[in-house]
Amino acid sequence: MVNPILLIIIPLGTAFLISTVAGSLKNSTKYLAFLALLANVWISISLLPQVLKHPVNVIIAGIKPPLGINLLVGPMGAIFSIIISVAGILVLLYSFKYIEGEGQSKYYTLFLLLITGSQGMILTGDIFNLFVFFEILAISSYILVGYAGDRNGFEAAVKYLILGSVGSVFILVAVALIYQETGTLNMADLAGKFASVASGKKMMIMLFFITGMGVEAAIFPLNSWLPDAHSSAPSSISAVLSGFVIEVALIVIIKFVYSIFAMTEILQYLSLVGVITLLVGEFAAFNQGNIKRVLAYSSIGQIGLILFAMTLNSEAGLSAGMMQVVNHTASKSILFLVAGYMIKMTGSYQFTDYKGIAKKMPVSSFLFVLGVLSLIGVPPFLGFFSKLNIIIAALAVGNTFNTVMVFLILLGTIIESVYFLKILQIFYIGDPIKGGVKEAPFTAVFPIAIFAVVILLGFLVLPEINIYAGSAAAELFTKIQITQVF
Amino acid sequence: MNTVLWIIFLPIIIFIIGTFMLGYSRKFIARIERRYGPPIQQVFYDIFKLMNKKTNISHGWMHDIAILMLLGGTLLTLYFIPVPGFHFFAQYGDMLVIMYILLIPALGMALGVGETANPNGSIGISRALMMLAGYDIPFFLTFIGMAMLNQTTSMYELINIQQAGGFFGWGLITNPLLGVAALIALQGMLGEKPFEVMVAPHEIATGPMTEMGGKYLGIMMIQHAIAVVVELTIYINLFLGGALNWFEYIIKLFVLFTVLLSVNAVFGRFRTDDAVRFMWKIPLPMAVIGVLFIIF
Amino acid sequence: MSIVSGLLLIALAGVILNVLFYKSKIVQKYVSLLLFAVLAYLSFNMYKQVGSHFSIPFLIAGQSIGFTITWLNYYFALMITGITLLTAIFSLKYMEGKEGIVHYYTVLFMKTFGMLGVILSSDLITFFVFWEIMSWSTFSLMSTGGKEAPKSALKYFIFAVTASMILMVGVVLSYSLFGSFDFAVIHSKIDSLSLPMTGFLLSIFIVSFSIESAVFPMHSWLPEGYSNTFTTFTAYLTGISTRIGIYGIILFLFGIFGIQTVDKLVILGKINFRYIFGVFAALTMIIPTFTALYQHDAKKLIAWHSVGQGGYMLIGLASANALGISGGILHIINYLTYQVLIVFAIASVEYRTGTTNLNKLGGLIKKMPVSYLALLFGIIGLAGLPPMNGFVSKWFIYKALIMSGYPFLAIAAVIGTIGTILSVYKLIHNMFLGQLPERYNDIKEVSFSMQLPMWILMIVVFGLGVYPGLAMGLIAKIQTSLGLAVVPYSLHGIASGSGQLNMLVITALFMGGLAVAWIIYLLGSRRKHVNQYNNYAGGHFLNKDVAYNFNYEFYAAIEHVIDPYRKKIIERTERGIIGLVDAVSEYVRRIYTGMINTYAIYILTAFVITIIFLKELI
Repeated sequence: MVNPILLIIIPLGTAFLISTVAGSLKNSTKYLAFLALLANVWISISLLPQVLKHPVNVIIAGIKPPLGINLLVGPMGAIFSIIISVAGILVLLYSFKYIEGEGQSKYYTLFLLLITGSQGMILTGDIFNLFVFFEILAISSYILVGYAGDRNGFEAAVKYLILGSVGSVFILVAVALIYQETGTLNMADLAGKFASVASGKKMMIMLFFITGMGVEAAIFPLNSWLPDAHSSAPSSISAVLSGFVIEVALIVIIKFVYSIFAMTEILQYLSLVGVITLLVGEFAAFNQGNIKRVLAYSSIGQIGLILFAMTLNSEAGLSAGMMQVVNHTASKSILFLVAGYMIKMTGSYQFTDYKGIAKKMPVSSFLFVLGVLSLIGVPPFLGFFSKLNIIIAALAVGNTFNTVMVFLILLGTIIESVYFLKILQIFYIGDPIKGGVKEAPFTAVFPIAIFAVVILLGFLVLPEINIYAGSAAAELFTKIQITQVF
Repeated sequence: MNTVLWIIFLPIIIFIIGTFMLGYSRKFIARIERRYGPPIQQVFYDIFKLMNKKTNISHGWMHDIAILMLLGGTLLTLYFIPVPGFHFFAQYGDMLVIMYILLIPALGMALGVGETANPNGSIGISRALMMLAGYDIPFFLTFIGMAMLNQTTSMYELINIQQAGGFFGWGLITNPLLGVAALIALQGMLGEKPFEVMVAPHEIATGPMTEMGGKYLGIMMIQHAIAVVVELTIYINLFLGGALNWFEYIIKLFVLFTVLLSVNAVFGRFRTDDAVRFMWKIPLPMAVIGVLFIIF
Repeated sequence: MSIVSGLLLIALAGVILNVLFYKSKIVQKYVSLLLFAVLAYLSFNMYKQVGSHFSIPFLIAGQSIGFTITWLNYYFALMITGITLLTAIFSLKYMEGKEGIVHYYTVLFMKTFGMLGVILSSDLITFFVFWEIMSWSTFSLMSTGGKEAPKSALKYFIFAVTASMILMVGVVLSYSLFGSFDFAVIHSKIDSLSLPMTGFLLSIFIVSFSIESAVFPMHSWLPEGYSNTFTTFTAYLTGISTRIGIYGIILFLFGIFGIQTVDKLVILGKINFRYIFGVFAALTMIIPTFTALYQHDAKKLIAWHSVGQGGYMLIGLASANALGISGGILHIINYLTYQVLIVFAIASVEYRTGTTNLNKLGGLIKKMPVSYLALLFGIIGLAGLPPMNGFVSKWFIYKALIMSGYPFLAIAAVIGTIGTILSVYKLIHNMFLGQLPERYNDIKEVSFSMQLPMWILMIVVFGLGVYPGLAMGLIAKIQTSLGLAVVPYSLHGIASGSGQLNMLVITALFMGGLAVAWIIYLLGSRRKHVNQYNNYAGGHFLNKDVAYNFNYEFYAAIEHVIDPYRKKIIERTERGIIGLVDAVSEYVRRIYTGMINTYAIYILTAFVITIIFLKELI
């Protein structure tokens, strides 16, 4: 049996190691980071079969919960941890050539801390611990957003910092209130005790928690930091932020609403918010000229879709939402990573400057097309099946509200396809741009291609994906696993 | 045997009637204009002269074929129209077929004239086609009305149904709105004034006929003679109860033709757009109202 | 091994081969041609396996991908593969040396793959998947081939993606209502559905297919999209691609919902679903056909007819009697043959002269007689005059409408036909007749490989005109398999009673008439061919410096009449929608002001709104 604690310890430890040996190893520290994440991938994958049978409860430092700190890993946690490690290692590989210049070890340290925070948020079974990991994640991402050191990056990082801090204050208030009312911070314990809290207090706690976490999860209108941060960060960081950081925050909200607070009354409100978030994101992206802003707004749209799916109050919806998370992670990472090299090659953020770039960067452009197709939901890509499942789940409920929401989502999809296709046409049509534009290096193309394989061949393992996503959904929906622990 | 004789002689008979009718029309107009006019057999002389011309100018193979399509198509139409004593082919094609094979000669001529590369000709064809859009829609609608009323699209059966009702069974009597609308449309179909926009000798040098000479013009005149009778017969069969015998048939032909000629004689020529507008503003609503009467 | 899998695999192999051997001319030309020929051969042999079912054990939402062969999809498969083969033959020379040839062939295979999948599928999800492949491949190729192409392709795509999103709702809704995607299952359970729900579901499907088959008022993507791409691809698109939507309508109206169910859908006590559908079909016939009159580009003109002709098929289907339905179905193949013939003729002219601008051509009959003849056959078919095939199906449709008491739909069909006659004459006149511009003096007829498809189609257009029974046999089988009544057809037309139609007699009489006319013609003395400058010009002397031609604004007079009624409502609505989306997008974008203080206010607002909402809950 592998211990899930390693998923947190290894990146954290390596991060400290890198910062201590940075002086002697210079730029070779990246290989250390790579090794750490490789271990992470292996652990998280080998964890999956175990948790499918029974959730893993790890007690830390020998003190039993509810007093001590524990990790609680169900299928959902394992799947997310795979997503985080795999996406993390691929993006890290991409960064090898993409991140240049001195002081790279700082980048890798922060990157590993980001992974640590994400893994911790998913795996922990303790609410205060959650807050700590959230802070690790948040602070490392603030710095990474501003890593390039230019004016835009710095400004975006400051905005992100301020709004993120407001968010963490809200979370802290929620944590304090929880402790005040129930006297426990352990999730499993809390799940049992929360029902007895007075309903006004319940609402207050939930309000602070969702608002606070919503800032990181990019729910409209709390997501105002996102377009700046995601578009000004280095592309590798944008890929990570869009790829799993916002999803991690979102899944925490979902987990709390379903299994800890058990407040299904507000689900419909949240699904409405999800659709609004989707529409806002897609419409805002429609007239953008800056390719990374387009992708950032599109991430808002996608997070809205995931939120909608996961708040349908059905297992099918949760499972479809999980699929959509996988799809979004893979396809959005492709888009950001390709965009990164296009920006680097042409020196321009405006996609109108990329006329005919497909002739110079054929592989990258092709991968970009695959990413777009999957994001929009074209068969036989993974995105199609997740979108189909979402709609099936939504219409299975069979009320008018959901039908209207489905039409709005599809309207969003139409808008999304139009702005992406405008970009694709520019890539492929017209005379190639002048200048020294050439194909991205292998270290960049290879990880992107792996992402592409996931979305392209995902349909071959569709039944397996359904099983895993389904069990993750069951974990959240039926609350069985969280109570099984005791 | 009888059918074979009819097939051979029908075109000849109709041709003779048609030439006399054209001669009659020239005489009739002349008298109204207080001229003496040419003799009634003048059209024969014209055709004979044209067919004997030594120089026949042609602009290409389509020009040659067009003239064949013009006459061949008209003969085709002729066979499908029931005349007293002969309705053999009527069973193989109904009124809808007739309406569309009527357009074959028109198309043939249009193509031939196009090849002559004379803008006057092209303008003439363009006007003829626009005029077609003008009169064909109301005319077709009146036919649709009659077909719906009698639950048949066969012209021969329409005649029988009308004959069964005697004079009061005539389409013109039972459906006056449709009858009058079709009559106005017929005026356009025959290209008589005020709808004579296609030929318009003073504007476009007789339009389609500009580059036609010698035997080409001769064949056009033969065709014209037959076509006039064909088009009048369609109206007679639809609205005037057809004819039981040739005497009645010829009387009806001449009476109907005289009515149309009288209108022709007193009118000037409409501009093309006015002509089309007129067709869509007067006969078409009439036909629509007529059809509405039939439905309700 | 089922023929279905053979068809799909070969089409897919074509895609892969073209991508892998993107440098090899032999693969692009001859291997592709061979594969298309095999496809045509296989689909011709499909009749042996009618009724068989084939499925891939691959589950989507618990549903395996399934294909089935019915007479209806046999009919469509024949048309698809046949026209693909002809297009491929024509493209041998036409596409030679053009940029994007690999893309062209790849997409041609992809598109064929998609269309075959759509028509052969036996469940909604397979249908939808292939539907998407089809529209994406169309978009991909439509984006190339001309300057305006990307823009118009994007416009196409907006419509196509809207259609597929609506279709997706329909697919999923059927699944949640019937618990299955399978056509047969849905058909068996359709009666248990409440009427409003049936109406809603049917409308969803019909609207979605109507967009794909360019029914008014959702047609505006077609003329631009089809006319700006490669002309051979235009032929392919206009011939069959648009008609896949009609396939969907036939399948759902008659195959899945069944006409009895559809006829139960009545609003306001009297107006039934079919009649509303018929009115839209009528508008589809009239408005695009008259818009075609205004066009100055041959491809655009013919693309507008592609819209208009769809109306005939739909109105035939809407009449829902045996004659009308068979007319509608027959019109699909008739339309396919003459329309593709016309586009091939236009492509030939474009290949030689480099333009399709109707104001710049003229007199080409002297130089390209075969193309002229092809166009002539095509336009006679399109205008629906005997003896070509277009007449037969239109005759069915007129007669069905008159006899079942829809006089105004019938007159709409007639108006459409008249508009067609006007605009096709303009087409042939401005391209082939009139004065030959001096710059085209050295033009030659196109080579044999381009002539061959035109000859084949000419024979088909004429042959199906004289012997409509050749196609009617299959159509009768389709009608029987859909549970509809059958028309008493014969080899030459309609067999029974006084309302019969005998195309052979008509054709023979016409030939006889031509013979008589020829004898009279021979009676006169020999004709003499003269050149185009030997012409009447009111005494003026003509030479090559004198422009003596009439083709610009050919129908000015009728345009004057129509103009006041052309309000361009569709264009304005579209522009309005685009403006709205732009404006909304602009306002939404401004939410993200970039100023941190507004962002703080947002968080506060969200907090307050959530409080208000949660208070409601308690």
